[in-house]
Amino acid sequence: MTQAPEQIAEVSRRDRGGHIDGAGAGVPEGPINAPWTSQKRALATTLAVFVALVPIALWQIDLSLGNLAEGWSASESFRGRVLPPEDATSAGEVLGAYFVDPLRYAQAMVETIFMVVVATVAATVLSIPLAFLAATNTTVNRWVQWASRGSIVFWRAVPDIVIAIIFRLLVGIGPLAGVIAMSLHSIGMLGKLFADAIEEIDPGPMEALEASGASRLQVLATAVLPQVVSAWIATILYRFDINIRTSVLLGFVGAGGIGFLLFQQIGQLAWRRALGTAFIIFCFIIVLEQLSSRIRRSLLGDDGRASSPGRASAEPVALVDVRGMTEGRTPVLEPWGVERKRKWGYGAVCLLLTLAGTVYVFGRDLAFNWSGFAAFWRNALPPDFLDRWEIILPNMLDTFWMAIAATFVGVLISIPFGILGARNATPNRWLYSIARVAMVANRGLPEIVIAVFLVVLVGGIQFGAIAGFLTLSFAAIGFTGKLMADQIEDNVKPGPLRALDSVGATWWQKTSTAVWPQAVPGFLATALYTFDVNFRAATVLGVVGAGGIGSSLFEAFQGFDYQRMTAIIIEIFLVVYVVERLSVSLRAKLI
Amino acid sequence: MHSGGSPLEMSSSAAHGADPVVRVKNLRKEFDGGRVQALRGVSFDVMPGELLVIIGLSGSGKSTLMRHINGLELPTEGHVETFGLNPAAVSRAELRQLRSRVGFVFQQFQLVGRLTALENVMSGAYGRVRGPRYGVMTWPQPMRREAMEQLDRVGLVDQAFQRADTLSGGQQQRVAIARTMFQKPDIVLADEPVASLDPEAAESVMEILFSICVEEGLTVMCNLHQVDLALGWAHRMIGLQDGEVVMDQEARGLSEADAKKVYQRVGADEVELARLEAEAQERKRAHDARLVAAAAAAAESAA
Repeated sequence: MTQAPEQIAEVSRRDRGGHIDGAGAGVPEGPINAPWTSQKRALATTLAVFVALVPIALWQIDLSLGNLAEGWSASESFRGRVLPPEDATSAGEVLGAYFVDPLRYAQAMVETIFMVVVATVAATVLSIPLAFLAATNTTVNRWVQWASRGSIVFWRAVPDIVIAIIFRLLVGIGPLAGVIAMSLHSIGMLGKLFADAIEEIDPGPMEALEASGASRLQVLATAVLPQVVSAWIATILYRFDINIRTSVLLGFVGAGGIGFLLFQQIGQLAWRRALGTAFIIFCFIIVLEQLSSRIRRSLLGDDGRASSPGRASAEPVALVDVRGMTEGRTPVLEPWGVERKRKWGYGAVCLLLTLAGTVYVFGRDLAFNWSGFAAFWRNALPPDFLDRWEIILPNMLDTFWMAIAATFVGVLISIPFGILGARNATPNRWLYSIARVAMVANRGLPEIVIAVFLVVLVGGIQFGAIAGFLTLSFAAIGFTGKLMADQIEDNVKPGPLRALDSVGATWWQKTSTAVWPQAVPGFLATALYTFDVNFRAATVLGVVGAGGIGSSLFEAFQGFDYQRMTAIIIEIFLVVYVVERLSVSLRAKLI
Repeated sequence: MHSGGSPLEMSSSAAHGADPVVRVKNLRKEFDGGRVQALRGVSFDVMPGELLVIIGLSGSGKSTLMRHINGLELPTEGHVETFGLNPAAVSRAELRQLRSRVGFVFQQFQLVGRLTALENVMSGAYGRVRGPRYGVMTWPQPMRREAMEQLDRVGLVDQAFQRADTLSGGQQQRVAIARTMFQKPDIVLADEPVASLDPEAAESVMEILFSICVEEGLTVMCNLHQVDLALGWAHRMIGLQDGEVVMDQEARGLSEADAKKVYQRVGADEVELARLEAEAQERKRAHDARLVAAAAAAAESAA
């Protein structure tokens, strides 16, 4: 029996109608639009508010072509003092104009490494107990948890440079002030990320040990620590990278290291030398960052997350005499596999560096100026909030606008870098490598170094906010671009990409249909985080005259106006805290 | 399966004289402010050396009951006495002391995946050493050897230095059993110890757990889904349904068919029975397949 095709279609439609709820109900009339969800609404609102603020911000920081041109002509003499000297006859003479004795660099670099290692290790040691007490599943009680979370947030919100200038009064100029500043400020990040890792563990082993009568400390050591240790190592290495950059900044308030060298040269207006040192810093940071990412990979696997158990089991354990151990012929010892040797090796190097660094930092004749320190606090308290608020408020707003504008431009620039630099979204290997190299190179230039030169290039501190804006926008390539690339690699699932491949989509079509929608919430979250970071950085850039509240802070400090200084510090703390809370809660809504 | 005789004798000796090691009295447990009634007045005693199997559907309250024995849960009403102590009413130190005498085998093994099998076994002894440890080297040599012996007992001494998360499910549960034995408990509580394992691994793990416990003369309380696995081992079976004891009988002489009936009595529905049936058949098929394969291999080697 034969049926007409229409009849078959009719039958099959009826069949399906019987099986699938709502099938065949018909397509509604009118235009077809996607419905609004609460997440979409949050995304759109954030985006709209943000974009609306940008023109105001650009206007507020006086960014205009006229101002840029004016600044550029004002910096002509500066450019003359940076370009190679005209009377130089040989390459050696030119090099001599830019670089000093290599030993001087080596010494400064060793000092920097010592400072950063000691500070990062000290911050780790301080953060571990705080993290255990701050994590919901390991804390003692609600009050202790609240207190430790509070102190973590506190140290994150106090800028490192502020800690450095206060402690400089106690320990004097030198690396120790920098070490104290970096270790205390690092608690803010390490403590938080350590606690997050603790909260993510599988609770089963904890319960199993509690059920066998283990004490609280025993449970922490055996059920919790092994589960978080690799996440912690990744965090510590990441903080190490950040602290190298921070140390350059802290050099500007006399905290030693290679940043101090740069600071001295700028103070002497030896701009060629300063440029040479900036180049050395650039290479130094890139080398150290490559080193730390290599350590990360060798300890934690290619994805840097140590999730694959396969690595550890790949080692042959057949050579171990387990029979002899069981029967008492040989002592029970863990075999020295490749993995274990490597871990102990890194551990030993880290220990040695820490010891040497500690001796170096504390070993010089330290004179603790307790009376000066106490006098500072007496002069600094109570904070003077009222005096000259008409200068502080506009400066605070300047910082805010600087951060808004820089975030917008920075995110726009870094999105292409992020897409090209993500393994699963890049169109080809070459663009991938170019994007990655550009981001690494960009991270080699600490914001403070960029700012120092930009401030002069745009025509001095009357255009400081423009310099700050340009600095932060440029620095976003390395920082935000990398976060964007990580977001894409984490959030863009391979399935949709393969599906589009199979229908013959082009790279642009895949990017717009499979990559972009999956990455957008992550992008916005990264943008918010960038703003949060930019706001902090903007306060700090004031130290080299890049405008905003940071400038007021350093004016107050240099003018011994300590009461105003503490007031500004408290204000910075509050604003940074509010900005961070806001960005955290918005991020939570978006993802 | 096993030699029989001795556990049954122990059961009868347990019946007269000695005090019970675990006393459950009118135990009532509510969750969610009374919206969920997990246990509705459960009472029974467990005698020393007894091997008690508790059966019932998931959600019948088996796990909740077991977690009261060592104070992982606190009762809403009624109480539990373990070694004459109420876990809900003792100090933290006493509770630790009590827990160190009660071994607990979990359905999900609850090993620390990133530690070696040996370290996992050694962590069972925390009740009898002071202070935290990290790494094999931090344990005294005699304890390391003892832990190796426990691993040997479950047949995993070759895997002693492998990370626990590289082991199969059955192996992980065997490590967990070695950890419990290294704890040197007087009672072993096993909460669905083989529910996450494939049928074959389940059978061998059950065999290892029960034979070691019998050998050491331990009191055992075991929650089980698969009643047939307990046949020949259990002295006594308690059935739970909706948080109430609906059956409490000696297990002596139960056949597999009886066991299934027992299961039916504690509320197994058609689907559940069908599943059990299918599982049994699957096991038989796998067994036959192995025999065929072995015969084929033998024929090949002969040729």
